[in-house]
Amino acid sequence: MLAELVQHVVNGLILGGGYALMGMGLTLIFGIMRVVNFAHGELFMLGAFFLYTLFSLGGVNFFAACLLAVAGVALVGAIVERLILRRLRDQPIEIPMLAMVALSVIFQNAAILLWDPSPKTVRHPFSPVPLTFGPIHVVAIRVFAGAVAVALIVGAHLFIQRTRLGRAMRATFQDTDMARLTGVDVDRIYMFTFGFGAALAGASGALLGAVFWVYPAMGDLAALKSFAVVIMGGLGNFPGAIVGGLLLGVAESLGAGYISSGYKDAIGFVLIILLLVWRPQGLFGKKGLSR
Amino acid sequence: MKIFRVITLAALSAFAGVLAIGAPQAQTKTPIKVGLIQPLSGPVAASGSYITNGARIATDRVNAKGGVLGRPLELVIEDNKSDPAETRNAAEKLIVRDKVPVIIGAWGSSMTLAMMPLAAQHGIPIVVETSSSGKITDPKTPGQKVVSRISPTSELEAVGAGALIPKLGMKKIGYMAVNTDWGRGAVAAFGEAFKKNGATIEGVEYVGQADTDFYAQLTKFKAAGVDSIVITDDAPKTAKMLQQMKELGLNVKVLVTGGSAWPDSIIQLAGPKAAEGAMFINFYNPYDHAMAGDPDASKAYVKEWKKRNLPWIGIVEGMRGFDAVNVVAKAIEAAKEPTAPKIMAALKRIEMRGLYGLIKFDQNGQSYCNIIVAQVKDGKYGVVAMTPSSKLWEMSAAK
Repeated sequence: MLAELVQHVVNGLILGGGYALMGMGLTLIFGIMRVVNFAHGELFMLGAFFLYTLFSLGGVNFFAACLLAVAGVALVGAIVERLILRRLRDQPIEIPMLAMVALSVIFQNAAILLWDPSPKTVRHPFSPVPLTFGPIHVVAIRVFAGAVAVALIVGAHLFIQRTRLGRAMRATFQDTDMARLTGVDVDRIYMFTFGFGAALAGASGALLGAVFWVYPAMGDLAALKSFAVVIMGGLGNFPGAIVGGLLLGVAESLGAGYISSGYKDAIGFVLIILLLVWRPQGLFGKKGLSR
Repeated sequence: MKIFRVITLAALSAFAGVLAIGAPQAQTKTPIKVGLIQPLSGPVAASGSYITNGARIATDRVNAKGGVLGRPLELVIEDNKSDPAETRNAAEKLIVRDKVPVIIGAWGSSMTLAMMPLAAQHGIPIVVETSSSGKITDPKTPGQKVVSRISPTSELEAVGAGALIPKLGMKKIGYMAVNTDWGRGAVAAFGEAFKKNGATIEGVEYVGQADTDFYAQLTKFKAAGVDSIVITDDAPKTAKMLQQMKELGLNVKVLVTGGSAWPDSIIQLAGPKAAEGAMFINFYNPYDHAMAGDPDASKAYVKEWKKRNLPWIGIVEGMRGFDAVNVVAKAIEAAKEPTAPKIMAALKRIEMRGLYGLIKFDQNGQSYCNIIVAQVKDGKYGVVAMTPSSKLWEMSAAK
């Protein structure tokens, strides 16, 4: 009984680590830049496909392929900002939102044409044999993905809070005109931030693509969970994304284990509704934060 | 999906142009349109693309032999985005704008059920190639009268494979099924077959169409001490379930129903270790043409699939599209004119051999197919048992 409970909680933490990973790119783009990025799932998917192409088809070392895949998605993000979002920056929020919906459809169908829709398995170098602690089982790749998730989230948080560039980013999105007056190159900050957010989405796609599998529609679920995690944790809040992700994972795991797996997704979203009724700004969000 | 469709159509028309040189009598005639609705995007897009490719192979084969009624067949392909509502939209477009006299589709049971009432309203016959929910050929279901189904119901699968259950030593079963009409129908049908054969179902867990993580459900089964797990889902998710069973240290017998997953696809997706020993209910074996209802067609189909460099793991699903187009071609030939009412009447009288087995339709529009139980043995394809479609037809006649 206890072993089952512990295994459910461990499963939930592993699952939640994945959700936190999915959510972190979005917390930057949606939470801080306030771009409702409906193409988030597709940036996630591109990270996975870049890894698959480099590692499984190209024979590049797994860890090098991960880094290159992330760099590739960052580049895609920067190009998207430069060519599309920059022209729409002064438009009402629904205009860039619709552009991102269009982009998500284009990316997903391009992936179907380029790589075909059959799912691909990434044969990562981690052992498939589970690590056993008494009756509890965990596999190495999931522990690796979870550890990278926490490292990336903490790193991104420190970067934004502690560095000069991070301060310029925060200034730009709090008050663009004022930031421009103090000498910040606002255009470059916008491009950099979107590229950075895309890179985080790509990193999560590459890692979770290796854990599960790689296919063009993989971003759909990721986008859904990401919005849930980001809203639950508080917009633009990195520790919030970790806690939000873990909470969602554990709630789904326990819900599926003890209530019914048919309602697994519903349990997660009921939790979000309850949380938002209690704290509309999310777990870690500041009250009245809006632009 | 526009881009996809445009390119598909461009490729098809280019191909038709090439074929026309070889078949002069079909060249001058306008083509006969056949609607095909499949999931070409969304979570089950891989399956839809395999079936579409199977349908293309059959269409090209029919046209290379001079077409039907001296006219070439033309597939009008629509994407239902793995979604029931989109399936209805796709059917409406095919019927109203393209004016197709017959539709093949739409992979998932929930998707097929969504378009049946509309097709019935317009009197357009549907040839169902994959869906296996019993509801589709139930006379109480709206639109059932326009359906001719070549894929088996879950009940039929359970009859074909049920006798094996005591032999396999399956006693305490955990059931994992996708949360759709297909999964729920299979749980009902197999649940009955298992009970009849002395096994108990310890628990049923439903999973979402796009889920990737099954730790919670599998942990529950492990705690319940099941000796077997039965799965009704597509190949990619089945592969993940098998992998995650190994990750959780759950070593039990596995039987996969539905015919989408087969040994080769699971060996490729999950690796030979996780796949070892798993059993699959299939309707076609691409390694043994003698098992198919029409061995020559089977040989030609496998040859063409390889020639086109299509993913090998999709060949068992692609067969459904291949057979569906051949059934439609045969029905149009028998109808003497390509109109919906004539084709519908011709489908009711049809009797032919396809890859599925002996294809003809009972009073509810249901055909019976070969039921093969395949297994991964030493990392390779193996066959455990087979019930030929002719035997199922005899059994039903005796009833």
